[in-house]
Amino acid sequence: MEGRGEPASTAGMNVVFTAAALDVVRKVQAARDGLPFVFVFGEGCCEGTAPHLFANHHVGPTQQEVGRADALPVFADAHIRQLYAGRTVVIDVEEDPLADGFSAEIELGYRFVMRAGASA
Amino acid sequence: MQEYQLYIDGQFSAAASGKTAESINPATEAPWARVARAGREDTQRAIKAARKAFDEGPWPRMSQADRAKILNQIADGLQARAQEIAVVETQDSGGTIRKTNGDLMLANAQLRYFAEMAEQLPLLTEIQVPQFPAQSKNFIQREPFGVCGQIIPWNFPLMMAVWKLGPALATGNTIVLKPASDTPCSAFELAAVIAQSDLPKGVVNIIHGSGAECGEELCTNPMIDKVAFTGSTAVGRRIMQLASDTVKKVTLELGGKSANIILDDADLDMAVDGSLFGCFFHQGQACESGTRLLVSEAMHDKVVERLVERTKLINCGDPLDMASAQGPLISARQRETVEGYIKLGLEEGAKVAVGGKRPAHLSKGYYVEPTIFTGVKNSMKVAQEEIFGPVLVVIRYKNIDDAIRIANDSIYGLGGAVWSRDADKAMAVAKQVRTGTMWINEYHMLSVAAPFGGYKQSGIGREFGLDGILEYMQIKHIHVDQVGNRPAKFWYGALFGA
Repeated sequence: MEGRGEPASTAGMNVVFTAAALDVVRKVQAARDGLPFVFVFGEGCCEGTAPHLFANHHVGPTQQEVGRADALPVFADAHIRQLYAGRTVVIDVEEDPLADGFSAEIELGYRFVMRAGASA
Repeated sequence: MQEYQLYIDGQFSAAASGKTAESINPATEAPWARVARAGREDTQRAIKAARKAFDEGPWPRMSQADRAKILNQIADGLQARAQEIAVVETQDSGGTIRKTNGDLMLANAQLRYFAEMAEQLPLLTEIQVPQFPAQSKNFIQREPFGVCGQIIPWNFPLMMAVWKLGPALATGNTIVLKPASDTPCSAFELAAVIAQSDLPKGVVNIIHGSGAECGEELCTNPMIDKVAFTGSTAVGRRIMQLASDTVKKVTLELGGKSANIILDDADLDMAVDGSLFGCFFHQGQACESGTRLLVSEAMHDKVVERLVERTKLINCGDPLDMASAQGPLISARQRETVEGYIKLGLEEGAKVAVGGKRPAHLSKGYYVEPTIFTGVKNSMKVAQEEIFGPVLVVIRYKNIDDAIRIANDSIYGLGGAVWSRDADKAMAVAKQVRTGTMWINEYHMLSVAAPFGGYKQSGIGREFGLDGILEYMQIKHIHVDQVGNRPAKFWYGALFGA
């Protein structure tokens, strides 16, 4: 199969949120009340591996849930799951008036960032 | 501080909210320009202006020669201010002045190519079809697609604007262009050039704002017919989803992790320097960069030794200085991303052969040294993910088949190269790599007359060349009856026959 490299590990990928990041998740939900949100990960290029918070987003068959922010699911595709297998990924937030992505927190002047944690 | 305003319906204006944002010079880390920051309301105003210009204005209805004349006028205006705009671009993006001067020259040549195509592209072409079941003459009429939302990245700000505007204008479309939040200024310089030309108002609108507000509006507003995006794969997927509700045409130019293959019979001096250019040009911030260098087991040590020796000669410094070959990365967050990958590479067991740090002699600016990793397996994160910084990974291959297998073991397929003295062998390798562009004994040399775009998750559609221009055109089939007589019609018997 293309683009999967050699299997690195069968261990899962673990996602945790900082308190500040969870607070911003709640702010976004309050600002756009009622919309279903999910997190998905970037894979490099101009936006790095930023976690994206999208409303009304269809999650494809290669995506699996790897964590939750409150009740809100975090999905990673097979490629990302394999790259971060056996690791804890910390989702944090920064204030950033110039952030450019499509992620929903950007409208409120924030940007979620991914900090790769230690191996599990 | 330099000030820029939104360009909507032929007028420069502040954002409806009155918001502005400071643009940061990546070499000094200091704000250098203040730019109006658009929100949804401004985006909707720009879309309405473009829609009106398309539905009611002269631009889509103008003769091809007149459109070409206006495109050449814009190219003239850009040429007259090229040096000044290159300086703006360097301050806004951190690209070296050598690079931004080159970008301005290329952008100018590209606009003139699009002007030529605007004039020469046959819009009505007769095609031959079987004369059963109906004798007929048949034509293909090519028409502008409509209102285009165009979203561009921060790595080649002015040139990306021209890549998007050029083919859309050449074919009679109207446009709302959103430059990247980090690098809006040269697009507004281009707006000033456009404002001085005879381009009808509302045909080109330029706004500065986030993807979350302006980008989402461009991808969902029913008045937009087509979205063209250059940027990351994750956002490309999101754009496709957003655009699907109103079934917009989407073209995407996304990420890459391109393989650069040195064969054993290559001219090594040329291959080594070419590979460094392939990866480190503009600090590695180019989608088609050759970021995976594939070298045979036999040649590995010799190649790495030369790579390291030559990399040490690359001069990082003030991008406004003609002596600098490498400037800073675009932003503090991009440097953080790149440094994160360097750390990951080390954790995964790869070894830094050269670089890996911030240059010691530069106290300000988002610089990272050109960095080469050895001991890299293709499954490592630094070999699979696009780092978008000056980081080259060297991967060993056993034989040519193994090199091709490694090259194709990526979710991306945008660029790539092969270096060899044997033209047939190089061509055979080029054909087997699943990617949109392969260079032989060269890198980064894109031509405005040749199609550029991605295989796999590197994108959909092409830019440049005839293929790129046709992405901005609707295709209409016109069937002209040649039967001429009711009872002889194929359907007549079926409806009314005895």
